[in-house]
Amino acid sequence: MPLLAVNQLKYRYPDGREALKGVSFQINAGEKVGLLGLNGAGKSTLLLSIAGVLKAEGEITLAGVENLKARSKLRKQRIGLVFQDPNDQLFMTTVYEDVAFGPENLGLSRPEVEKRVQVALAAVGAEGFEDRLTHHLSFGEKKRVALATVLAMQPDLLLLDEPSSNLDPKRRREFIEIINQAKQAMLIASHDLELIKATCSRVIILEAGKVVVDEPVAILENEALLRRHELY
Amino acid sequence: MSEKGVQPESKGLAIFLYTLAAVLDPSLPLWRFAIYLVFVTGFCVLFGVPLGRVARRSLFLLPFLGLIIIFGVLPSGDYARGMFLAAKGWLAALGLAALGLSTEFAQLLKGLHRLGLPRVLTMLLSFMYRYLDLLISEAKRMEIARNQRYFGGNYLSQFRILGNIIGNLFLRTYERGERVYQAMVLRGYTGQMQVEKVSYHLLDYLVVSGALLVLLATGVDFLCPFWL
Repeated sequence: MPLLAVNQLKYRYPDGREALKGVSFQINAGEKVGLLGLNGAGKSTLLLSIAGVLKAEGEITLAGVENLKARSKLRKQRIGLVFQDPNDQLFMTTVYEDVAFGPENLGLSRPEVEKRVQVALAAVGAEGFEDRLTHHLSFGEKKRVALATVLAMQPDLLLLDEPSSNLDPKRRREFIEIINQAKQAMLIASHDLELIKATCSRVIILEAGKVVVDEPVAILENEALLRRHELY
Repeated sequence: MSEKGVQPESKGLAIFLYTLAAVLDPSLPLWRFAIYLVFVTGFCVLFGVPLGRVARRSLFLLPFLGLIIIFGVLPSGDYARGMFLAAKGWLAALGLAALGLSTEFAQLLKGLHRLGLPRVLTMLLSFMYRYLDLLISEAKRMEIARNQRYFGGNYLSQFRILGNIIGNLFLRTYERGERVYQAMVLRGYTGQMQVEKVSYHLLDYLVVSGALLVLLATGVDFLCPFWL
C-alpha cells in the first residue's frame, strides 16, 4: 500500500482559474519524487492541496489514516510542507522557538520538544543555532532552519517547494545532501533538474493542471521529451 | 534565562513602575530627580548595561523635545515648564533605553505574556519585530527599482508613485501574512501556545520593590492629601 495516494484531485481558484484538473499519483514510503512543470502548471497548488491548506476536490489517502480531514492534527503531523520563501516559514523570533513551534502544538512534553529541536537542527547542520534571531540568519541558513521546523514534527511525507531556489552552489549542494540523508518520503517541486536527478528516483511532470509524465528519473536524460514539455 | 537570573518581566515591570512615577511626577523637585537617576543607574549597574550607551540611546527623544519646545514653550515663553516636561521625558527615555539594552525583545515578550498580556498582543508584537526588517528592505528595493527608471517629474506624479509603492507593500505584507498563517496552521497552530513556567528569586522581588519605592516617593506629594 502506498504512503500517499492522490486520486482525481481538482482545484479551482476563487477567481475561476482551474489549477488542478484531475491529478492522480502515488508515493511510497521513503520514496523521493520530483515534481516538474512550468510556472503556473499547478505545482504549488498541488502541494498546498496535499498539505490540506487548500481544500481540493478528489481523494487523498494517507497510509493508516481513514478519512483524512483537511486540517486534522494527524495530517499536519504526518505531512510537512516547506514553503519556498523561508521568511514565510520562520515567523518566531528565535530559531529555537520556531523549530519548537510545531512540536509544542503537538502537545509534547518540554524535554521531548527540546530533543526534537536538537535532532531537527542537527539533521540540517544547524546545531547551536537555537538562540539566534531568525531575521539575522543568512538566506541559506534560513532555508535549512525552515526545513528543520518541519522535520521536528517527524512527518512521513515532506513537500518541498523549490528547495534550491536562490541558494548559492555550495549551499545548494549541502541542501541536496540533507535531502538525501532524510528518510522521509518527499515530493519536491522544482525547476532545478540537477537537484531532482541528484535526489529523486521518480519524476512527475505537471502540465496545465494535469500529470503528463510519471516515470523513473532516468527519463530526464531524454532531451526530446524535455523539449516537448518545455522543460529544457 | 537572562543575566543574574532576573526574569525579563521583573525588569519590564520595574521600568514600567519607574516610568509611571517619573511621568506622573507633579513637580519634580531636585531630590526626586536624583532618586530617579539613582534608580536607573542602579538598574544599569545591576544588569551590566554601560551607562554611556543608555545615555546615548535616550537621545532618540531629541526630535520630540524639539516639537515640545516649538509648540509648547516658545508660544507661551514658559521655560520652566519646558524644562520640567523635557526632564520628565528624558527620564522616561532613560528607563526605556536601560530596559532595551538589558533585555532581549523576544525575552521581554515572553515575560509580558507571563505577566498576563494576551497572547494575541504578544504574537502581534513578535511578528512586528520579526518582519519589520523585511518590510524595510522590501521598501528599499522598491525605491531602488523606482530610481532606476525614474528621472524626476512633476510633483503630483511623485505622489502617485509613492502611493503605488505603499499600496504594493501593503498587498505584499497582506499576502505574506496569509502564507505565514498557513505555515502556522500546518504546524498545528490553534491559537493556544504553551507558556514556559519560571520561578522568581529574591533579586526579581528586589528590583520590582525598588521601583515600587520610587513610585511611592513620587506619590507622597499628591497622594497624601487623599490618605491623610
